[in-house]
Amino acid sequence: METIKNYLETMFANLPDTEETRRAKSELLSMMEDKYNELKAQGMAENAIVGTIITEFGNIDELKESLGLGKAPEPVTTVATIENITYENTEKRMLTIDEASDFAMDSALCTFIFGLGVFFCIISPAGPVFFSGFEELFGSNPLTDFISSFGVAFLFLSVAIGVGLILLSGNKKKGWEFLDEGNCGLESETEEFVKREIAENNTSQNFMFALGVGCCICSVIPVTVLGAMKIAVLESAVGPSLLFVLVGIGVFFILNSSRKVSAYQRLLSLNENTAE
Amino acid sequence: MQEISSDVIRGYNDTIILFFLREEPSYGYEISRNIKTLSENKYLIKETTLYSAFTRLEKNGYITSFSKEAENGKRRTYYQITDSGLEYYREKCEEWQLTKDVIERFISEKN
Repeated sequence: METIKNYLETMFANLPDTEETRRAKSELLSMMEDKYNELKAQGMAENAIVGTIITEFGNIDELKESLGLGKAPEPVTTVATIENITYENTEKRMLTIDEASDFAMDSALCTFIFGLGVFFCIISPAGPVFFSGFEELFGSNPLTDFISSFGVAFLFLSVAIGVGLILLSGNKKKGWEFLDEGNCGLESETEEFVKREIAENNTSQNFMFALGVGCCICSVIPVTVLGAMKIAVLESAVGPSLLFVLVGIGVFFILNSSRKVSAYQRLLSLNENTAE
Repeated sequence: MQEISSDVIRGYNDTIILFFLREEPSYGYEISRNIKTLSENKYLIKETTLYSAFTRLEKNGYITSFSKEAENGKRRTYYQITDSGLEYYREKCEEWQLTKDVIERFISEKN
């Protein structure tokens, strides 16, 4: 009988000590005692009795439920399952709409600054070309030397600004490195948001891209047109330098055309990886 | 031998208990033993199932409990059926007739 008492104690060990559980315990013990006495009277061996009683005891969870404790342990298991799920999800960090939008803004800004940097680098030769045009025009004298030094200064300054901006653009990517580490995904609402944004930005992307390509193609126009005009200052100074400026603008537009969409596509690709 | 599934019988444990209490007040082990005897050992109700049913029935007002000293001097909790318990029992009997009637239509000896 001691074994049975101990068994019952163990079963109740995790239950709160309330009047109801105490009553349940004493009732169950009473029933088990009755059964024990009867089986004993039938001449059953002690071990067999204990075995029978324990197998016929039932399930403590059923009891918890009827004692109104079902609600207490149940949320625990629910929490546990939620935790398991979020555990899987924190392995796969889920991005919210706000985060996706922030990421798109940051990448767009980053692309913008990068584009600007490239633009300055591309137009940098325009300086020497433009100012050396004067030298060609008026011959080499102290004044044109002085003027053409502006060109060189412009070259260096422009390259410096350009490189500076390119370096700076990388700065905005900080804080988003975790996206590269994998284990990220989008919440379903976020995915919808991102898809919608891509669709909305598609037109402006195409427009900007076309504008950029247009600028690049048109870059040769000033050189040819102004060259044909046979006006020295336009032919040797303005035309060639405009070439650089137009190419710079063109490349800037091309780079920027996809700044938001590519960021959003980047985010979508996170979910494709998740799906695998 | 095929054992009875506790899932299937769950909805009728209350009915089974009330069946015995209609006759006279009784206590846990006696009811458990009576179930075993009447079912010819085909259904052994688990202790936790039985006690859960008691608390549920009492909560719903179908039975009341009182403490009584048995012949051997042991103090036991006895359960007694109430009027609403009797009514509930009758409802459950009707429900079972309907259930049995429906289920039997889908039970075939042939394979």
